[in-house]
Amino acid sequence: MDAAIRTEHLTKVFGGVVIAVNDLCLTVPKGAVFGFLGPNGAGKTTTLRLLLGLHRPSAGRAFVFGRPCGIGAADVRGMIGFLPTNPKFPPHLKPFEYLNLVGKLHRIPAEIRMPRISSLIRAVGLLSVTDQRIGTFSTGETTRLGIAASLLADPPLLLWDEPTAGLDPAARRFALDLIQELRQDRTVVVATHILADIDRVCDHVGVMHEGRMIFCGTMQEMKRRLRHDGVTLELAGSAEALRKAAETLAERCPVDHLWLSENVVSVAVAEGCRRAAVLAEILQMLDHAGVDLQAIQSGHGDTESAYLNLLQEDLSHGFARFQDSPRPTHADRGGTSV
Amino acid sequence: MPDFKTLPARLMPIAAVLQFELQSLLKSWLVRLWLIAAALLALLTIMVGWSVLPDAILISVLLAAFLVFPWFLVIIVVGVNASTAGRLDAAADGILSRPITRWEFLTGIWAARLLIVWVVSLAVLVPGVIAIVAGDRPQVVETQPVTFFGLTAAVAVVLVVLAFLVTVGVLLGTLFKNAWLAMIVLLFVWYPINAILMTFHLAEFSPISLDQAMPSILRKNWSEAEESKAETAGPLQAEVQRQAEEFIRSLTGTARPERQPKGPGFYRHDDKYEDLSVAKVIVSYGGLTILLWGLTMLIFYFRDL
Repeated sequence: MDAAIRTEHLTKVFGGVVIAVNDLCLTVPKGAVFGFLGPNGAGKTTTLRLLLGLHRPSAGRAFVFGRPCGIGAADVRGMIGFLPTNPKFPPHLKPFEYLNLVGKLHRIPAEIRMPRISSLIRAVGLLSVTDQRIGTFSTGETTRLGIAASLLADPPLLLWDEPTAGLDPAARRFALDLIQELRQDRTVVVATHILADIDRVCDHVGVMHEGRMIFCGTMQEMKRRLRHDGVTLELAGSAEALRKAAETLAERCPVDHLWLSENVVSVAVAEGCRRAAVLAEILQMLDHAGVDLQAIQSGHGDTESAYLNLLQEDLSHGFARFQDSPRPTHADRGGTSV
Repeated sequence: MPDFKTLPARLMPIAAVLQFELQSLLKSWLVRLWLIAAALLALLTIMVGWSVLPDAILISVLLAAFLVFPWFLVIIVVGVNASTAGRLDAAADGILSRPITRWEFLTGIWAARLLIVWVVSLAVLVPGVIAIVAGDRPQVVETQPVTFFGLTAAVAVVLVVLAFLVTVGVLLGTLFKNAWLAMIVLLFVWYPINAILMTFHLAEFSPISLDQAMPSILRKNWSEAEESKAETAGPLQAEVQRQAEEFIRSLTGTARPERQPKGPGFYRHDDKYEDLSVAKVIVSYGGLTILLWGLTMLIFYFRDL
């Protein structure tokens, strides 16, 4: 499988203090729409900036279409169309002026650059604001301009960091529809924490948590993980009754994990147990505990549950997460191999 | 894929950043206000010295505003703003995430700042100098006229020193990331600079010394023969020059230099830098500028954006 992006043990520690990306091994196949998922501060943006050479990695390497990324890798940046989160563009410029600057940075000759900018401005719906300065733009308009800038050089890889953040429903739909359209001949990486966006456009997904990649695979694989063992119960009752019910369930039922969030109990059924039998047992206990069941949801097809499940699993591994990290070999330490 | 092959294509990003920065600077209030204030101060200086000071002294007073005080501060602020953290946030999103190297980016913004500083300085100095040299000032006793070579040499010295100041600003902005912090550090370094240079017997290279040497530079001739002929200055000219130097000191708040025991100094002759080698000044300031530029590039290259 050809990789659009490949990272090997990529690590970034800011100032020797803040661990932003921790031993990231990632492969994004060519032609995929890759959802880069994770809570705020998970390290998604830092990873994208490492790929762009805006940050210097503390350890590890990254490649885009087989070429090494780095601060001096202008050729790699030429293959990437980057849309930053809440983009900050020169406020005194007008859209055409800014896109013209970007076109020159991409070394696009004027005879190609000018008509392309005009078409892009029309395509992203900024025709009515061409005489306004970027500083006066709304969030949606700035994002549209960022999208146009990322597409100007017709790059084979798009890195869009939270493209729908702060957008109204119409602008959000525009961005997502555009991704669907662009997937025909490009690799698209969409970093976000909005699960509905991932659900709608992505075929591959990577989940980052606290700087580490805790899952990387297809959307089907991610959902399949939950289909086997996840059930979410929406309950009604006093906080005390809910807490007691959750404790009872955890003690008596064959479940791997159980967690309570407000009035929702998520249960991961233990491997080897029949879901129907465990579910019947859980419902009976809830009835005895005097808690009313309002809704029941299987994990099947629910990205949000799968995502939360992954995060919970990662947290529950505790120190075991360290065991997964790479070990220095004897040769790494300067010894000779036999 | 971008075209990296032809020279115009290679230079396109630098030219784009240069043009972008020039546009930004021309629209900035700092540059506009500086241009107005510099023009007003030059006008005031010329008016005050019009019927009193000889050409060389009046021109050196004009140059003092750029070499010593107050415009050196503005020039350094223009440089400092190039690569502070706030500015680079926007540059990272909009420019540095595109196929441009950091070297190209920094070269573009440095060149734009240097051009603006030179253009503003020349826009003020050239008309001022022309008015002084070509103006009809019958009251002024002109013992030694300003030469064309002297004028060219003085302007070259000023341009090189301005390039140095801009580069110092860019370096401090890159190093400290914060414009205010950079300015405070600069003031702590700049004010004792004369004392520091004196310690290393390099006082000739301080901007204050350079300004004191300006009347001599302005009167220099191209050929040695002409120079030796012109060197016979009268006592009246020496007195006028002494008074002008007092005037510059009072304007800049510089203390009177301590009288050194007479000896065969490298440049020094009777506390005046009359034999200051223009070529050596240009080479030393130019060399320092290149050195600082390299250091700035190194710091910027290793910086996370």
